[in-house]
Order: sequence, then C-alpha cells, then structure tokens
Amino acid sequence: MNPLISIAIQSIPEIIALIRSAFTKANPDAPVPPDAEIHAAYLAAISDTLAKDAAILAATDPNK
Amino acid sequence: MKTLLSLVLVGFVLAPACAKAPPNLTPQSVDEFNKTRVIKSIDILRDTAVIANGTVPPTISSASIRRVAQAHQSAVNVIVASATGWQATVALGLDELLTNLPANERATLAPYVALAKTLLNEVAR
Repeated sequence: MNPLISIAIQSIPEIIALIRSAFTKANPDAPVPPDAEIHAAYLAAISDTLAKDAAILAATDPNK
Repeated sequence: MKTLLSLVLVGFVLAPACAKAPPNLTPQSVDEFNKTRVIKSIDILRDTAVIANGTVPPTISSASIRRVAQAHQSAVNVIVASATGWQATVALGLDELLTNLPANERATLAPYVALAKTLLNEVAR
C-alpha cells in the first residue's frame, strides 16, 4: 500500500474525532463546558504534547 | 484511496469553519479553547511525521521528524507564552519547517501544515 495512504488511514481516527468535536461545539443546544474544564483541557494538551516532543527529541538525539 | 484521502482532508478543512468557542465564556477561556484547537492540529502534523517515519521504507527520515518535533515544541511554547500575535508566529514557523525539509518529505507534510494554517487563520479572526 502506498505509504502516504497508510499514513492518512492511520490519522483518520484523530481527524474524525476533531471533526466530531467541531460539529458538537457548533450545536447551540450542547452543554457549555465550564471555564475550569476548558482550562484543564488546555493544560493537559500542553503537558501531553510537550512530553511527546521530549520523547521524540530524546529518541532522535544524534549525540546519544 | 485518493478520493478517500481527499474527502478526509476536505472534511478536516471544513471542520474548523464550524467550530466556535462555546458562548458565555470568559475571554481567557475563549483564548485557551482556541489555543487547544491549534495545539491539537499541530499535534496531528507531528504524529503524522512519526507514523511516516515508521513505514517501510520510512517516508520521513529520523532527522526530519526531529526537525518537526523541534518546530512543534517551539510552536507550543509560543502559543503558551503569547497573549496576542501567536497565530502569525506559529504560521511562520510552520512555513520555515517546510522550507527546511527535503522535497519529497515536504510534499508528505504540506497538507497537514496547510490544515493547521487554515485553523490558525480561523482563530485569528
């Protein structure tokens, strides 16, 4: 299988989740998350993703 | 397969146009909501590069995923540290990342950079 297609297929679950969340938030009847939840999600996104970056940089360190 | 890929990318481009911050939030929460969305979009760029490095043969080299991870880390730090103007800075960083990649790898990641920049433009409005 074309590697690019394989990549795209593996990204589909994340993309679908993002699309689903986008349409959920467009619904005026959807429950409004409180500020605290948004703040917690923001902090979690930052810490999780920076941890992944650190892992990648450690794994690809040319000096190791 | 190309049709499927095109449909997925079109859907991803349209999704940010539909997503708005929930009403009745403080300005800080609106800002954090938008920043989280942008962070998630550049996460997909980074994660796609990692997956591409895992294919046989690798579509993205280890040196390039290191560049992607460094650019991603810088972008997140800018997003966290900046109150305003971070959208343009992150977009410039993504453009610079693409410039520094080999042509074939650039072609692989360019669609994901384009999607992230679409979201950056949307939240900048």
